[in-house]
Amino acid sequence: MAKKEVLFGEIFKTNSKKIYHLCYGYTGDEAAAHDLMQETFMKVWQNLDGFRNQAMISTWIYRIAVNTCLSWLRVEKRQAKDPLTDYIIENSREEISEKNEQVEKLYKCIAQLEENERLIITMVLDEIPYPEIAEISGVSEGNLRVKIHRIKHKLTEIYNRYERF
Amino acid sequence: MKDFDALKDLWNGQTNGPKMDHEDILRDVRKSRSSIAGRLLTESLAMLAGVLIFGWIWLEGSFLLWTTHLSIAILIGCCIYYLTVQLTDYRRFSSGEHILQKPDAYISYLQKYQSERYSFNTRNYKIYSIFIGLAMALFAIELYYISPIWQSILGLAFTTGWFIMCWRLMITYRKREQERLKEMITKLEGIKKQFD
Repeated sequence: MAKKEVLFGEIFKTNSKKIYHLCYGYTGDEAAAHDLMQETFMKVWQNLDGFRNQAMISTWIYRIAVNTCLSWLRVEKRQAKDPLTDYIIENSREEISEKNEQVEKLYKCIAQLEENERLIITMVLDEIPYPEIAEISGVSEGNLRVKIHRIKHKLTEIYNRYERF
Repeated sequence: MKDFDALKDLWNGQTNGPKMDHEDILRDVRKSRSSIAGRLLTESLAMLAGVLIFGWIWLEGSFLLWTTHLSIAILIGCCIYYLTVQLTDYRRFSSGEHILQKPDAYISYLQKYQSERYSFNTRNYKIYSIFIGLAMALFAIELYYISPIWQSILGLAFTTGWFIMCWRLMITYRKREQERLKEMITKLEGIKKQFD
């Protein structure tokens, strides 16, 4: 058990930040991102004994995270696509650094994308290799490249549109 | 105006991170496991108590009619059935093999699981309430022979009331679940298309 806990601790340390980004990008909500990340790692722990191929552990964890995110919308009634204008008005009163504000805005823009686009783009932003993204999302590599090109364009457009507010 | 590389720089410079460590996760795993196990244990004990009480009544009571024996047997059967369903559900819930499937296969699994769960719940609830009602009706026969008329009427009224209540609850439950399922399936179909 202790050995398993040590392994789990290492896995968490290496992957938690990226998984958190994925969940945050998917939900556009910090609290929900924590819930999803927690749920993902609980599933990782529960399935750890059955996992053998250590070399691909990040792909395996990402797969669990992606599926957990997809089932989140199934369960929750929460709507990820909050109106951006509300967000900006609400936060203009707070003293948050300009950089953080821009990062928050980027997350909100990602939340405007379709579900699979959110998952793919957060992996692209976290520099996950394309073959790994293809394996995680179950999309062919050729198709994935086309999708990524389109999503990048769409995200940039959304971000620049809202930056004018 | 920012291009995608500028957004990537912004992303890489973020300080956002998880506000928990692996110990918190393990604590929650234990808590959730013990809470599910606790609920299951409480329900199992309640059902076991039901089986024991009905068994004791069956052994100790001197009943005139075979219908009463059948009534008690049905009630015990219902308790055992409920317990079996709970245990099967728990085993199904604990198994995490589907989470490792590709997203489109996982979504298909979720759709199938939801539909199955809906028909399972509605069908089982119907069967369950029919059997409880039947057991009460069978018991009322003996009541008719051994008790004053007002007690028999009360028994009959109670059984009729039970059926009406179950029927109404069933209609509300079905309606609510059907709407929820429809919404869920539509949502999942939408997501599944994105992965094609």
